[in-house]
Amino acid sequence: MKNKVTVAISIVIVAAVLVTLTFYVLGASFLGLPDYGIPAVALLIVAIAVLIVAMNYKNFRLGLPVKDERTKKIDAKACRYAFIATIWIALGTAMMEDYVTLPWRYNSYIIMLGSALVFLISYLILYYKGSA
Amino acid sequence: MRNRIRELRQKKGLTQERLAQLVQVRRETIVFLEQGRYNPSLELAWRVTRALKAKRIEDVFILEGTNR
Repeated sequence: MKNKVTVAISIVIVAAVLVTLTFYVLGASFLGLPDYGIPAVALLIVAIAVLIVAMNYKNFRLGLPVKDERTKKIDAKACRYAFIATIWIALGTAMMEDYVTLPWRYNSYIIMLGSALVFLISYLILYYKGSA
Repeated sequence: MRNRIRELRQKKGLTQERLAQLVQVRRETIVFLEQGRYNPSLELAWRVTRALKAKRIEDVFILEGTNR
């Protein structure tokens, strides 16, 4: 039951992100590079998330747990990397303010997307590396 | 850490999927365990040992540099 809920929630989240992204792209005026970059990074994040959800679903269909001790360790490690990356990205964007002036919301986007990207890429690397 | 999971599993005629079901882990975890690319917790080592009907953990998992 818990596995079913986990898989269902992850599918709903991915679908919601895709819908939000579609509305964002449809409504965007596309004036500068960040306007293209943000949906592109978000799409990459969604693609990796879909891959992870698909792997979870495959295990779920076989009657196996969606999370086990290895994936829990991978989660924890990827979270740690994402946390450290968030601090460095925030620091980097603050330092870049002297050279590039971006609207404040772009800084938030960069921090959020950077954090998510680091989490998902770390997750995939750790997942395929074996030891976590 | 080396292990004899694949050898014992094949002797018992179990597939990786079936062993994963018995141990309640993802199939990939069994793959990585067999390849020696993941060191399990003591609890998981116990569950694998029991699923393979081995008598002791040392019969399945071998610490390299020791006789067993």
